[in-house]
Amino acid sequence: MKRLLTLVMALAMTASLAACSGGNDSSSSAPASSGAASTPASSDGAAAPADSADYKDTLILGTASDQDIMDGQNNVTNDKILRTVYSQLIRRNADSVIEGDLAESWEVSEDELTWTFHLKKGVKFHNGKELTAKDVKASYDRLLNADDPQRYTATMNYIDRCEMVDDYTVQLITKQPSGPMLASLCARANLILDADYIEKYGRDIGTKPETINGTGPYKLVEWNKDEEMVFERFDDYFRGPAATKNLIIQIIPEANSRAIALESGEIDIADGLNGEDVARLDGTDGIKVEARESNGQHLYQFNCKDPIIADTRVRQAISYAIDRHVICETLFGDYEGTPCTAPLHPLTFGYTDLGVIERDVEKAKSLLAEAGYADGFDLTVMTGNYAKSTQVCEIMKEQLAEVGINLILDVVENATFKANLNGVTPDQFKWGMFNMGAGPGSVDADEGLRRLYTTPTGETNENNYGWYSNAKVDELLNAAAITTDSEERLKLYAEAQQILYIDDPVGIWLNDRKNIYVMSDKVENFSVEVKNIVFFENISVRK
Amino acid sequence: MLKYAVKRILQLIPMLLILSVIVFSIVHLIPGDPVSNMLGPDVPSEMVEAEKERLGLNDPLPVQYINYMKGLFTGDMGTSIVTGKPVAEELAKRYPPTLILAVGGTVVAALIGVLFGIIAAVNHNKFVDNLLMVLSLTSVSTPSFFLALILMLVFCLQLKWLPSIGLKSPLHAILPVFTLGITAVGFITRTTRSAMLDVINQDYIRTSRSRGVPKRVITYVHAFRNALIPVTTAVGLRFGSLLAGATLVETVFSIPGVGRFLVDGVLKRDYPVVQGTILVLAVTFVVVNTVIDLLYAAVDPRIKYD
Amino acid sequence: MFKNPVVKRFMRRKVSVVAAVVMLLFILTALIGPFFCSQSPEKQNLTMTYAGPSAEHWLGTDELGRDTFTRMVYGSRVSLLVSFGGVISGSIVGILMGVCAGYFGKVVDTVICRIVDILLAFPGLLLAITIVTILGNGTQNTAIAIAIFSIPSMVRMVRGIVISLKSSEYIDACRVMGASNARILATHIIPNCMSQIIVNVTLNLGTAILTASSLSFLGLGVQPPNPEWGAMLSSAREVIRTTPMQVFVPGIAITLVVLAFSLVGDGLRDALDPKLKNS
Repeated sequence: MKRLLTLVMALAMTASLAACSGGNDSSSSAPASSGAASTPASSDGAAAPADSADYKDTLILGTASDQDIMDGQNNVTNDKILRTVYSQLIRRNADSVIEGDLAESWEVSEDELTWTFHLKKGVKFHNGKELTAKDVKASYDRLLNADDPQRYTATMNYIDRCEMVDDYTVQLITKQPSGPMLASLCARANLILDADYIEKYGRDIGTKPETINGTGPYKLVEWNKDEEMVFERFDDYFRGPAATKNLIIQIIPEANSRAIALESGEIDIADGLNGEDVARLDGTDGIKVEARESNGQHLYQFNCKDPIIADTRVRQAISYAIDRHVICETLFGDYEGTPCTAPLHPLTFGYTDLGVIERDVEKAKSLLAEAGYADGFDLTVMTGNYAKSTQVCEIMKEQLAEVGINLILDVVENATFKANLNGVTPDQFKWGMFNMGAGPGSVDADEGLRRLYTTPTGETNENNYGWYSNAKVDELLNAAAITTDSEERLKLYAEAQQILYIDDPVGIWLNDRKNIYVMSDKVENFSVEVKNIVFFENISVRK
Repeated sequence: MLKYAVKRILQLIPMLLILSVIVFSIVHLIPGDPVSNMLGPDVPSEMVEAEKERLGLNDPLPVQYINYMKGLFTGDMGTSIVTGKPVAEELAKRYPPTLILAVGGTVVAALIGVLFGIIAAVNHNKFVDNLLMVLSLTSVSTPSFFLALILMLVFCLQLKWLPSIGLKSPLHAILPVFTLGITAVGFITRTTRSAMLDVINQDYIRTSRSRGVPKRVITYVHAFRNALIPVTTAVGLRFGSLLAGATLVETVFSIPGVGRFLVDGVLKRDYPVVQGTILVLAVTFVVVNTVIDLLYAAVDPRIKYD
Repeated sequence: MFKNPVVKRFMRRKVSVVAAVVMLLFILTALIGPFFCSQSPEKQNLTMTYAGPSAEHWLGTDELGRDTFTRMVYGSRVSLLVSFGGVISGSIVGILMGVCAGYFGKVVDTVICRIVDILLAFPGLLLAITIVTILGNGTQNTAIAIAIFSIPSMVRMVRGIVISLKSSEYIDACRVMGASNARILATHIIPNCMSQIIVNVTLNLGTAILTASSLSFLGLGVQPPNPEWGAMLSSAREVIRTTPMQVFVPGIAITLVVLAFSLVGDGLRDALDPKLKNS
């Protein structure tokens, strides 16, 4: 009975859809084609609408947690969903190549301070208004206003101001020449808002569907917090309408429940499944796994203000005492079991392959003896309360025991963990080591290294959570930040990484992470960008 | 009766006020703060400070409390620090699903529990008694998330009879309501059974039994009527704990209810959310208990209130 | 065979007897089990993770190749510590509060009753969640949360009994004979509550183990690598589909032990209830 009902409903929907899409195609063809013409050839231009009888009209993704706010300047959750609604000047495509999004082309001035962007014409907001330089300027004015800062204002403060040249030309003026400029313009803080909405809603932008007006492929039509986000295709999207009419982001907090929902066909795609489950589902009929590179890394960082850890030799010894291969293989398996080869992920700009640090117990012991800790010492590691990290610590405990170090686990709840990483002074921070996830939003070494490891200016541990300080590293990273020549930057970063990695280590880099999605094998054209941005507009699902 | 009802309700007011003070101070005792948690570690301290200032979190606690209460009396429960949405609005959305779970669960528990309890009492110390007690206590003794997962694996995945996500239709409600309900069966069975035993062993039942009234009639009619009071109390008490215990079931079945809202609030230190939710849950709990007290009078004429 | 009528009545109910045996086995395992284990609960074998049952590993191994049987044995100790430690300390506080409230009445009673009302108005598990987030995770703090959790029901029960006892002629007689409050409480009132207290404690012990496991599910309470049963169950749930054994072993163990506590509590209640003497 239920099946029959579903079938009837599906048929009715398909019929009504076919009628709708016929009308919409003609109205949207003009801006869509002009957009497509000006877009540099890219692998992920929107696919043709798949409203044909063979495809479903709704795509459902099951994920663990809801978005905090649909406003790129303030969203902390993740990048996954924001671009379904918004666009930005430039973006990364699925192959991590920077391409124009709202900008058709761009150039930098002779003095390397003024970046000029030429906007595509005929780009429409969801409410039908055309996007102009006014909206771009209003968005950046809001982002760069230090008197009323947004979440990412400080991150972007190397840009001084935004100027409007004409309706389709804007300029971003930086304070100094900036090497990572383009990379950081791809971050979520740069999503363009509607100038009128900024005026009208202020800080309420992105809290509910009425306060959202973007230029992305989908409109958010319904948002039931912690339950679901319901999107509907925006037919006038400048790259052409999305392949599937409806998109639902279903919030399913428990990983087992997500797997069950996928297997029973209630959802089409699931993310964040348990490693064991991913491996199990990989061999299951009707299900496929897409594991794409992310630029995330998993590491254990040192507290350099700890009297024992402050000694470079001790940090090196700990680093040599850890067998990364064994940990990665046991806990991260086939998908995320690649040990790190540098303090940056291979996809992050600036990466240099330094190789995996191999375990060397003898070397570790002699370094410890040299530092005066031949008999070992007690070391406390703070970790957030998620299973993998605790397990890593348990294995490290065994491995460190072999060089005489007694590792003590302190598993704290996540909010407590975060509170310890912000504005804390060394005497309030009682741990010698702590777990960390790293992966710069801009996919650039400037954010990935300079912001995290240059000597802190104050007493507290802002950004540089472990008070790492090395004069040479400071010099190299600061020089690279104001160099726009890519080759020169790479050289500076290579030298800095060698120091950070092992010569005077910041931490133990463990493994490179991936974005893993498990889905029905009826899902077509799935692609995800390095920062876990899913290109929902291309996906279609066979019936 | 009416006078007693009014008195009970008036008594609630100071209690809720004290409760609000306690909740308020406890919530602020939890280490970590909502702003640094929400903004994440990599923002400058000045921004965290500015945000705290904007949200009024730097005011002395008594001032914050008074501000909060001022809002409360005008119907404003504050705004979630994490999402920027009004807490009252969110609660209005999340309260019904939890209520459905708790009411449904209580009904399921009461039906099974009372039935089991009566049968067990009638067959006191026989095999059926033992069997029913073990059965009803087993469901209570299993961690509810474990039970929920097993039921989900069986009914949603293997048999494909029921959907697993949310509470969108009556069909969706079956499994979560049942799961939650059977976690309370043991308690109600136990109470019914011992209340029934108490009554069965009383003299007048013995008398009527000796007078030859069929045993079954005695049991059901006389005994159960008299056992109603403790059973009602038990059901009422369970309703409260189901309301709160729904958290785990809500998590496994992806239902955005009050329980999950609250736990998320605690974990993210979202003060207004935690305060608002606890108050609403406490009021529900207290109101239900008061109603049950008042029901006593209706059920049992022996109880008199001054 | 059994002279004591209570023991005799308890023994008559076979289910309770079986439950009592299970309960004693659990306690015994917790107390002396670890001395008989040949392996260490922390010994990892990373080449043998998630192994099935074998002669060497009776219940298989976990994600780090540790012997699950050994971990269960050691874990019974942690679970016992959390539940007994929590419930018993909470009960002592509850008994004291209940006795004071019932015996002294007036202001003392009002104040204690309000405190209990407030504790009770915190919906169930939430109280435990809040306390653990304030104190931080760990075995000891989980026990404290469970202690506070089990105060209200004890206070209510003890207070009720004390009030009914207080007005009895027999206590009046003691008072007339010049016995002090403390003496009356210690020698007459508390012993008279004992049977019901024991029942209540037994029932709370079961709930405590469940509360600990619920906390673990939410990522709070006892933390791995500590082999507490609830923590083991909740961390193994991610392999429920691939290595079900690792989930079902702690799951069934918890169910069995909690069930045993409940049945023993029920049996005791029946046996101690004078009204059921003749049945």
